[in-house]
Amino acid sequence: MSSPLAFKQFFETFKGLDKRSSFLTRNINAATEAFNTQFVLKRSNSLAKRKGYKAVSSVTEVYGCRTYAYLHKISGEAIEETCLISDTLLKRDTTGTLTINYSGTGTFAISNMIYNATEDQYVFSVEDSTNGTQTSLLGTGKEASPKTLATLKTEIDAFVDYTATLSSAALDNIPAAMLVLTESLNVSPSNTIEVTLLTEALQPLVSATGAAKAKPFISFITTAMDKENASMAIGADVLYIGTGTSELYKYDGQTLYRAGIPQGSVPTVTPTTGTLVGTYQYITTYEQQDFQLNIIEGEASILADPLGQVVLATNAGRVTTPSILDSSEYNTGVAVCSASTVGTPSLIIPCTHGSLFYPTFHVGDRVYFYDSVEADYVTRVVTAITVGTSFTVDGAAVGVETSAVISAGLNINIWRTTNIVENPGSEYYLVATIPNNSSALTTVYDDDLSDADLLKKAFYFVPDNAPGIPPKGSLVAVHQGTLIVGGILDSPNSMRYSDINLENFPALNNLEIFSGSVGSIRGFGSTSNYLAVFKDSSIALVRGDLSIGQISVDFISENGTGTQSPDSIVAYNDNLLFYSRDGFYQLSSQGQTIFIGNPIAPFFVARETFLSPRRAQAVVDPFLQTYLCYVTAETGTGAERSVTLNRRVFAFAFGPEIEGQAWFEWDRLNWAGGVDILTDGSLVWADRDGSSRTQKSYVCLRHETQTGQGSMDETLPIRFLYASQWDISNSPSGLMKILRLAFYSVHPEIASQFTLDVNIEKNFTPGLNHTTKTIEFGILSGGGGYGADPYGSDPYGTPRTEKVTMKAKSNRMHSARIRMENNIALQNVVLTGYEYEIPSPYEGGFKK
Amino acid sequence: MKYIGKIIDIAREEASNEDVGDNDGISNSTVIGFANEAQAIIQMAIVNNAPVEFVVQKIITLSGNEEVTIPDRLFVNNRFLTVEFCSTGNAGDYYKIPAKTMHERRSVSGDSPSFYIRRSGKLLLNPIPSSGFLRVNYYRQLDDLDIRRGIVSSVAGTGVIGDALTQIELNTSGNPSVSTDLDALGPGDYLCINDKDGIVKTYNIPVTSASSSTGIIIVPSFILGTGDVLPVVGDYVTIGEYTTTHSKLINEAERYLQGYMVYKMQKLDSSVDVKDSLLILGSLEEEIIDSFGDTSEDIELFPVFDQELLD
Repeated sequence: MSSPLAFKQFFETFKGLDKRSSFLTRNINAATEAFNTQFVLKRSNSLAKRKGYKAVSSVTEVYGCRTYAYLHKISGEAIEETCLISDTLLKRDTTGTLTINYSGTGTFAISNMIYNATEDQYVFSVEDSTNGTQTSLLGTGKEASPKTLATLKTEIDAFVDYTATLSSAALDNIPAAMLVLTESLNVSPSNTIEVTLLTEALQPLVSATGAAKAKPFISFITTAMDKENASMAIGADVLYIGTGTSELYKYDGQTLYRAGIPQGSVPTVTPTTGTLVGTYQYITTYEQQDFQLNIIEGEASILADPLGQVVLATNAGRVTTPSILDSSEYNTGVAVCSASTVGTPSLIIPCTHGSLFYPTFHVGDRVYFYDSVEADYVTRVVTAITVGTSFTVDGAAVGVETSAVISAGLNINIWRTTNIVENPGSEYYLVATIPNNSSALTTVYDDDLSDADLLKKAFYFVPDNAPGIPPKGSLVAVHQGTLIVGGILDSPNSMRYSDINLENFPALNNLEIFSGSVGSIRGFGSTSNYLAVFKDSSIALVRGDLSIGQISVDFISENGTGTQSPDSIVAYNDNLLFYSRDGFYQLSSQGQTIFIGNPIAPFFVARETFLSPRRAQAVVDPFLQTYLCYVTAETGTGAERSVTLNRRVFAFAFGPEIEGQAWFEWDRLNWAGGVDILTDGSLVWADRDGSSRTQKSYVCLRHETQTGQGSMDETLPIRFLYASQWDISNSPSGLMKILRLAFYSVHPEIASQFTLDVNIEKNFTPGLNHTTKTIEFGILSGGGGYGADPYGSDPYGTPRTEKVTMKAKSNRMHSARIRMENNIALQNVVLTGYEYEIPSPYEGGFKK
Repeated sequence: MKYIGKIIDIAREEASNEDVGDNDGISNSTVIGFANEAQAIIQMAIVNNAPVEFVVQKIITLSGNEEVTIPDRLFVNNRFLTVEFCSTGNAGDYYKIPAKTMHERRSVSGDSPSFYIRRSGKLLLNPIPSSGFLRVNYYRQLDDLDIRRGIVSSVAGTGVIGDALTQIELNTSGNPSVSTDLDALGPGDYLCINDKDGIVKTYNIPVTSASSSTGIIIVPSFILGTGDVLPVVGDYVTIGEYTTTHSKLINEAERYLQGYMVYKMQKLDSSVDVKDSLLILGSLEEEIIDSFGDTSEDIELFPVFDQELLD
């Protein structure tokens, strides 16, 4: 019988997955499937296909990825580096380029490096109005013998009117398919495509051999695979790296070396020619001036040690201090001048010393030495090095004496009292800061500074808590300007924290976090209100001021919520989001745990699906206001732990309003090697197969475009799937009928043409199709202008359909859900909303 | 009358049901079913009001059996107008035999039958003649309607009457395209061959298998019989026994078929327009029946059933 029609409308009301509720109670705006979907924009609840990605480089296994950003202390330039942990620290160097030059006279010349669906591989092409299109097939870049950039350059040179240049010979062997995706690049007359190169962070050389120091994370990488990634934290513009098995390391933007500084060694002082008369006591401290201009000064040598005392009778004191040797892991770069030299800028400072190799520092290092022109110690930047022979520094003219030591900022402070016979209890004053000669057992300095002049110098402030060296720990964090270290193998309940100097760890700066729950400290999360210390099944909040020790420790969870997954903890707007053993939680700024993962909790009931809760990786995409957490799945429990296809990224769009909160499920992505977001919103990660030590990790960049090219996971299409809640109309036992449906897709600038496979499934049975149809958001016939496609694509500038309707089959059903899917290469999807009409009301009563 | 596919298109447009695919919208098979319902309704109404319509004559050679099968669609399976017998086959020798009931059946042999009995689309002749001819006039149920499912591009076998037809190939790039419904056909299913005007050239060709992708229909050695016409390139295939692409109802009934399909589609859609459509259908049916109420301006005489009375 006839009846009035009713419309059910779902316009940007998508609430994401709700796997927990039954179809009887689930919100009608919730989804039963939301696979590889995301919101288009932060405040637009249109659904889109998640962005794809592309590998841009490869390396042996990666165990950590972190974006490291700072302002250069001299130039003010904003520096941003992606740091990866392998057997050493690797940096994503993006300064390499492939330059394409066009010498023809055509009206345009365009270059593309894109995925070609017909060829099913990446294709480089140039196109101009004179010669048409000239192409080179690049493969996927993951072949056993991929086409290299050098080969591509040769091929481009053979194109009519084109030549190519690689910015460095180091780029020659990089697979050409690892070029970043490039659409419609104007190369008339020339333009560049970025090439990603992974370079090892610099480490000082060893003066005895000229070889590089041992890579610091070899033992970490090669030990048992059942471990978390290296932990990284940024404080004072320095990147700190904790692995638990190696020492705490730092990367200061120039050099990778052991963090902290050891206690000063008691110097030996003997009289030599000079003018001082009296009894003097000496102490020393080591200090490191790092690339970020932080000064890390260690604990002083033993005060009033007789060895450091000398009686001078018209003498100078010859202070002989044990050096920090280049066999240590500290920043021991050094050179010793082999011939006195004075000169103008770009002065070549010779350092040829027979079997000893100098310099052991690198171009860009800030070096410290005595300048005979200034008659004082100065810091200059190394601008060039002739290996084993000489180096040059920047700035005004300098003079360097023969045998002068030039350090890379690792120095020795020599402190002395005034004549303690005349001034008992004298303070220690700084005599001089001299370069540490890491190539010699000792560093020698002759002190002939009068007491009158000494009193003008800085005096040594004896700290209440002697600074200690950082502990080994697998967990590092920065809170209230202090560095936190946990995951200490022989002290798993200890949380060590630095003083205001991030690399000084006084012995008393130690909290033992004991609880009634089983488990060790597994992670830290910092907000402005507290430091959250996570254990396997408990959480403690450390409130107060760490730097002065006025703190309280309160457990807010015992035998309950905790985490095993330190890299899942992400702070955003003073809230912490993390992955616990039963799902996802929010720890509010007030310290309340909220189970935000309730809608997707069933994923974690089947534990065997996700075997590795320790190795989740998370990041917040602030541009989408979305928490992205990779939960890995592995097979094997021994040396080989292959990542399986059950791995998932769970995306939680928390949004500014409760309506904007939604969970999505993404597949295929492998963030096992770590993930982070750049300041411009780009997402970068390293995958890790885990099946063997020789397996490569690929460094991948998310496509920051939502064009068809941006909707590819390398050469694979992304499967977009959204299935609504089961619409039961008035009752799950009654009958209903859907007549017609309309689908809406705005944002043609984001997704051009695409199709949707629409299935109306019935009777609470996934796969039981009532109606199926492929609808197409195609190009409007007769359209023109600047609607859908960018310049260079075909067709160009034509508007596409924003509404498509379809008719359902006429049968009645007990329930219906709308399932929309797209798994087609080079197609993005934007689903702004949909609606359907139903006859209403239907006759009541149970039907069969 | 127009091709039924065109009438369906118009009806879909009127009922706002143009969206149709293999698995969406109101399917073509459903709408074709509506058309056949409409055709059956209107044929019934016409037969009941105009006894001369839809009458077909067939001459059957007898072979000594009591039961005689009518090799065609007998309206409601028992609507005979006249049954005549002759032993020679000469037209002038036929004489009409009356109908009796099953209670009067006497299955004895004789030279010529004296009456017949209706039994489920068949005739029982008593006494049973050993040979002879039967001239039967009966109401024929119209062929079912179906859309064109493909266009013949070739046939395999000699195609000569009396020879076997083994395969029909359809033009896969033709218009209409080969229907995917063919894929579901197998033993027990039948096809008919229609020309462009819906004249059925070959009825009830059995099917072994068919493929919409290749357009090939395998036939289990079908013998073209008397009355069948060799399929030629350009003919159309319909699915089912006794199917055609054009209704043999009067042209005036076309509006009824269209209106009925609209009504049924609106009913499926629970449309509020269904009441109006039902009213229109009613008036259309009345108009059609009324048009048979006075079909001739001639003076009508009394029918004389026994010619001997006039001799």
